[in-house]
Amino acid sequence: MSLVTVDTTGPSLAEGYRELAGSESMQMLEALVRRLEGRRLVMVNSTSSGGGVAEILHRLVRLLNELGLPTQWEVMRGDARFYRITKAIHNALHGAPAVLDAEDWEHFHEMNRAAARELALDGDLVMIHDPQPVALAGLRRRPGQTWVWRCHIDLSVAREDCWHMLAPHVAHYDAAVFSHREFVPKLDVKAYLAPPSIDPLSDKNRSLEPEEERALIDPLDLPARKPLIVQVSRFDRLKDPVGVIQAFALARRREDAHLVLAGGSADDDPEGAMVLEEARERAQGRSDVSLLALPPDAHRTINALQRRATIVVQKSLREGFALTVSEALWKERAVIAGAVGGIPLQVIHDRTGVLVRSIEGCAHQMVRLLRSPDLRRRLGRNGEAHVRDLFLLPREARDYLAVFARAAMG
Amino acid sequence: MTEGDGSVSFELHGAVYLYQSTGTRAANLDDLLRLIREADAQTLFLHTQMPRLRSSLGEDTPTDDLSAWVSGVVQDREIGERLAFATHTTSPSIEEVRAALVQVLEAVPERTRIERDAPHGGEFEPLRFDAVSVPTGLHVETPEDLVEALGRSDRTVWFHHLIEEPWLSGPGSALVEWVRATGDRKLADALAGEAASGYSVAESRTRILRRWQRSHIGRRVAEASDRGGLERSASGREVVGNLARRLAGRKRP
Repeated sequence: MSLVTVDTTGPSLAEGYRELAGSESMQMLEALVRRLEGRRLVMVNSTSSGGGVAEILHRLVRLLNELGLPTQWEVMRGDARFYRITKAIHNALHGAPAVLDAEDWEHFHEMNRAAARELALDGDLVMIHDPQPVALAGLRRRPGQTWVWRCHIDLSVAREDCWHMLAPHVAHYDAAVFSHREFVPKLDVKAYLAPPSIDPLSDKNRSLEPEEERALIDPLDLPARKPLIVQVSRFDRLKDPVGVIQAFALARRREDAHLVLAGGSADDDPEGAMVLEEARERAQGRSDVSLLALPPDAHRTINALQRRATIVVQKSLREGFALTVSEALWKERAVIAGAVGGIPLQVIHDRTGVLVRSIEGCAHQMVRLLRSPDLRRRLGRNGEAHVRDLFLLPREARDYLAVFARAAMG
Repeated sequence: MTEGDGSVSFELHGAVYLYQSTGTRAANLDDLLRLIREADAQTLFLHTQMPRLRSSLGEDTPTDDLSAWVSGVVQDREIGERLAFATHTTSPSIEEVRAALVQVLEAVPERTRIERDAPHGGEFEPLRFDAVSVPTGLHVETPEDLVEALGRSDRTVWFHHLIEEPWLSGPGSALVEWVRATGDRKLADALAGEAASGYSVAESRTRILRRWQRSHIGRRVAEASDRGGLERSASGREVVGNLARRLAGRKRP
């Protein structure tokens, strides 16, 4: 069966979000569910586990069902060759040279035709996630249905030859939704923006008991009494880990603290390994800098690190959206971040955090925040309120339903 | 508005604002000046008034997107402050806001405007929106109903009726006109005054509710003073008791 069974055990998600996000923020979502009464929603993607999209869908499908909108989730199947092709498409959409020939594209379409035969796709509202099942609208759309394409991928540097093959399929949809304005390509259908969101009930963001937090932090061997400055990011030059170490070294001339750079292990990422090595060289001889290579499922450790931090840094030089900023703000941390990509949407300078453009600026803000607990508290409180308003999962659900309401009912 | 047995009710609507890219961007203050001159009314409204919908972030006056970009990303605090002040107008008029913003930027020499730029990847990209109106199912028949309903409604209900409508479809707002038609001129004036107040919706709500409670208590005390001694003192006790409970944040027993 291609139908995904969503885990519905444990406390109600709707109640959990109502408690955390406030009942007011759920009102419009519930009103939209009433407006769409009598309709059924079907979500479609290419995997039920692994990856951010599957993670979001497990929550969204359950939440919408709890609120009274019957919602199902179908997964299209593919063979090994299909997944190799879609991986190449994914890379090409991120700017890597495409190595797809006509036969590959024919196989891509054949798999979509097979999925069109196999899947029920019998909702009044259908949301297709990402490029793998994009051709389904042209193959299976029937009168009265409303189809929306949800692209979670950054298309800002997409290879023209690859996008050229996918774009005609998008023309069969009523609307498309993208995460960030830079990701929106030229399209003949209405394109909306729905910023990504964080799940306040997930392991990465839920509240931690002090004992649990201690148990997660203790094995990292960090100084217990020093203020921690933390950047959680993969080791990538655009996240500027070396710049963070340089800024920290300047700040340390004035204030005592400990820097933690936490990222992936970079085992399967040659460039990541190189950047990690550069960071190690820059931190050599410093006992006040820790470089942590964490496994991909270390969500609770990241949660604990962010909560334990006095300051969270995201000194990116280029960014997509940078949800790590919202994660830190949700935990009421004082954030110093680069003024690029989606960061200024999350960090309003001197209200929800501080924006920096240079190593010296970053060092100055580190000293300023280390010296001012009142300022840190104010920024943290405001940051949490800002994320509660704009970047929690119920808002993303609300945006999707609003797109359907607009497309289906005008 | 719907009419039933002689009384006219008003249905409250909220909205979900779906954002869309305009495909334009500003990399420096000179680009920003051009964008402000050319932007349509909805885009200027979005970047100067929509921030009022967000949490007040501990302050009465929310930061508009334009001055936030200039102060935070371009890092020119002085121009940022002047732009922030320019977004405050006495009436809900996009053209008044546009003229004030243009005046601030035109006062900066062209060369300086070009030099004051954003880092690569930090450009300002104006948006437009598609407002999806969402009926709340709340029909109000009297000003009392309205204040009670607004007190527990989503922020977008206030924003949609009291800010978006007068700024973009004005003059005035259908809700304010409805209140005026019920005869409560004071409440209508107070609601109309919030359109260009510059306050966040959360702060506007607090101000209106506080004012309403004060005038309502005054009215009830005045009514009570027209009654006999025993009845008057009982009513007085009730009014004061209600006030005390409200201040203590408790519900009526």
